[in-house]
Amino acid sequence: MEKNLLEIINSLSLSDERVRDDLLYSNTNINYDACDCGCEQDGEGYCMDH
Amino acid sequence: MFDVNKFNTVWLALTYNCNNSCVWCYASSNLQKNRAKTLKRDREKDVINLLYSLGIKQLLLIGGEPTLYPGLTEIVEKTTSKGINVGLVTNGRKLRNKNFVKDLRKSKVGYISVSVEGYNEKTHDVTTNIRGSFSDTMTGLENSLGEDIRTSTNTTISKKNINHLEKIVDFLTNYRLRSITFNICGACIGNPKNSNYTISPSEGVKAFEKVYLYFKSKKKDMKLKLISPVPLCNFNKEILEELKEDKAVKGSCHIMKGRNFVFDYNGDILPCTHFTGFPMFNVFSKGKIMSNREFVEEYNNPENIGYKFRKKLSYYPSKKCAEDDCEENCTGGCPVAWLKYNPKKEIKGADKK
Repeated sequence: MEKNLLEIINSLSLSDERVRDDLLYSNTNINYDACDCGCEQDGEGYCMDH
Repeated sequence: MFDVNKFNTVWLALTYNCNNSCVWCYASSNLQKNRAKTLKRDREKDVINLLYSLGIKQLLLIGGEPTLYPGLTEIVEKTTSKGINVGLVTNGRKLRNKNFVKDLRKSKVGYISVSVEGYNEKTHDVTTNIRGSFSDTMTGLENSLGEDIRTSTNTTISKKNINHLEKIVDFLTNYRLRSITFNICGACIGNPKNSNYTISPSEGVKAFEKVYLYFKSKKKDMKLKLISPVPLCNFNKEILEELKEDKAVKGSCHIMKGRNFVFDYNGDILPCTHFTGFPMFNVFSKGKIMSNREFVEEYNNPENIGYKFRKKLSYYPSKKCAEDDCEENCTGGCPVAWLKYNPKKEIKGADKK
């Protein structure tokens, strides 16, 4: 039987430290990350105009 | 807590037909099983209406090879007429037909990303497994540029080409491209055979750093980017500052925020392209598509496997990433890497934690 999503994630090497909420829910905190400003973006969410 | 009600980018896998046979393809097992698996034409309108009602900003058409989808220009037109930006991610071979490219321009496609895996026939075709594919791809790229469509390239860094990335940049900077992008051939769920070609996150950072410095020395009026999220602390600090300035790298995986997803040909909703065949849920029931309200409810349903998946994913790969003195806040890059690679060996300083 094929694995499902949860079985896949259980086989990832992850620590028991949870990612900070502000990184998960803020769109501005990682300012060099994919832009989320509503401008035109390329295939991976990079801003094409800034 | 993991609720999402605003969506940004959606990748729509139109068909698993493909006219290349790339050695590392994440969807290759799916391609073999699903040669004829394609979005049904009579579902196009419902799919676009749902995505529009979810408020998405852009739709990326992917495959397989999306140019082999019989109604490509029509679906682009239907989407752009609703004000959604449409991008096409293609191997470019079908773009060798100038009339096809003209029709794409008329449909108002926003941009085209052409996959180029080498700098000549020999080095490209060895990855695509199709003799003559390089020539088609480069003719297609020229046709796209000839129609003034925003055009960029993407090259997957794999064991096949890691030693000649500078030559690829030399070759591609001869074209009037918007940007040259690279991604890393990472661990793959759908194609265990791709293990022979994968690059670890630290190898990927090293290779990109080198090609970025080379590119900068050429001072061309275009951008070079790494589109795979990687552990940013692996970069040399000074180079990383330049990369950030150029918006040439990113750290965190979009699944973490949950605002982007893949819409598969059959209505399966996937967290990202790595998870082809592993849906969070399906939008069709008895031939009828969900409403936007039902979609948001299902996406945020704590009992849904996708919700549980996103919740479980929100852990750092290493305790080192969680420390206050970590300056990068990148959350460790693409989590799928940790299926195959050990974070302790791949993230700078993580072995001491």
